[in-house]
Amino acid sequence: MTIAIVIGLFFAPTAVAKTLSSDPTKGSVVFNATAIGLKFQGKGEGPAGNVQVDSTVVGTFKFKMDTLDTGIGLRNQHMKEKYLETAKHPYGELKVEDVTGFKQASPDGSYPFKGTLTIHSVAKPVSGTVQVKKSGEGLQIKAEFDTKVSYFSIPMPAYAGVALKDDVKVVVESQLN
Amino acid sequence: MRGFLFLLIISFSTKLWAFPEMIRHGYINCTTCHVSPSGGGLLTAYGRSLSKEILSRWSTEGEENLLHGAIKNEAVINWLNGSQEVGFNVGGDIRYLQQYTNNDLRESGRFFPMQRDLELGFKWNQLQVVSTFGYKYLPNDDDKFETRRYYLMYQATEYVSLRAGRFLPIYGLMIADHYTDIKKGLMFDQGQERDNVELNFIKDNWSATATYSQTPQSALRPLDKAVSLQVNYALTDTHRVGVNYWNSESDLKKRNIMGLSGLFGFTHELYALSEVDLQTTQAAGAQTETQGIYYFQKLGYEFTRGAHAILQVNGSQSNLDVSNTKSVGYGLGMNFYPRPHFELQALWTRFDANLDQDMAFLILHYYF
Repeated sequence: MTIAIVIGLFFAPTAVAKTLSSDPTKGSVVFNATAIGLKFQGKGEGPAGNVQVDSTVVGTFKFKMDTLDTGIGLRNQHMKEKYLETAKHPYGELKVEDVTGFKQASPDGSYPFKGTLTIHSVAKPVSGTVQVKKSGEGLQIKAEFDTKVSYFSIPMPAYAGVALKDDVKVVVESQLN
Repeated sequence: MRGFLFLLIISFSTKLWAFPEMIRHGYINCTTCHVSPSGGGLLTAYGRSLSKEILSRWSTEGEENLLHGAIKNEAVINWLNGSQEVGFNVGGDIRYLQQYTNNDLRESGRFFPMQRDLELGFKWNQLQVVSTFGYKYLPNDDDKFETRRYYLMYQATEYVSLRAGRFLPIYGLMIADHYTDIKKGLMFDQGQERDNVELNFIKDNWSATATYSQTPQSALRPLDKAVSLQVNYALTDTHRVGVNYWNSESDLKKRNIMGLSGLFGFTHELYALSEVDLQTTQAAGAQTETQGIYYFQKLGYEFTRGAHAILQVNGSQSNLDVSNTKSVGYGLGMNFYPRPHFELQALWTRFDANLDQDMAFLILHYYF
């Protein structure tokens, strides 16, 4: 499923555009799914991408869909082969288009953000919140947003009478340097 | 040395027991894997699949199905595993127990069948009827044919179901360990199934069960009527806590139980089950009440797939004013699920306090 995120800004008074990059090995992408009587996570490596920070925040992150792991082999197989079709759609993408109220001078805080999520080669707008914490010269981010399986032309996952609910929560953590 | 032991429980069963330990994989309610909202017994098709995918050490393709995959026709499999809107569900359990006891009065052991049940279900859209057919072991008599559990269940909505029939009412942890004080001590033991009408609600992080139940008509037992309630809340994907309430009355006594229970999956390997109950009883005509406490704590670790080490504490004090009613057992054991359909459980328990005793058992369980 997913991807994402977001950003950093620095100084207001003397805002200087700055490009930050994320390292996939120092983050994670997690989706939380539910069915009746069942809650589980799929977790994959972090996103890769760059974010440009000045008076606004813009950037694009990509994520390898095949790294998602739900903890059960058969469930992984069904997820990747029948639903996400990771061989045909190997990457998810999150384009960050706006982080509202971000303060470059004092970045620590929680901000609303808007963007576009592309999964299964279908793009849909998303919005959520991102927690930002200054970390050295970079930023630690944790972005959360809700979306739906049905937005992305993916058949509703079901197996042996247990059907996933449409709503999925996505959490993306990354270290931007 | 006093107290050595072995316990064996072997059982074969079709879909028998619930495994609340599966909370560590996000299974916060029984109904994903079992037809019964209280767990145990008939498996759903999904539950069968899980017995292969994450419960058992080894498996081959289709082994989780009825007759270990000998039936190859998918339509027939689906017709018999409850996955059709209209169809059957066939299962059963066979459990054998080797028990060993050593105390000041005796050293004894016995091997006997705990359960030999065929369980059949028929599903017609939102309606399901389920019944067991088996033999009850009687130590000094001929075994007796019985249907220990049967019910009619109606799935009214995605979240609400209604069930009526004979089964153990939902209270506390729905674990297979019926010898524990939270089961046997509180009269939720096997053989104490009641006639129930039960309303179940499961949605998102919440689940609740309200039950009216009474003891079956019998010349041997007084009619006992009860209302009970269980409410559970999933704190996270792998942590669930619950509150439990029981109120019953017969010609002989009134009984009130309040308890807390919890399922905690710390990792995919490490988990804990916990329950503590306070029981208040009042004999008919008596002015005073008796209070007792019952508890069960289990810590498990799956050190390799299908093999679990277990530490547990099982205790009670049936009368808080009388110290010699206290009993505490400290258990060490293991569970092993070698292949789908098979479970092996061994537990040694050292009892302290007023009962200087060692007890052990081995259970072999076959579920089909």
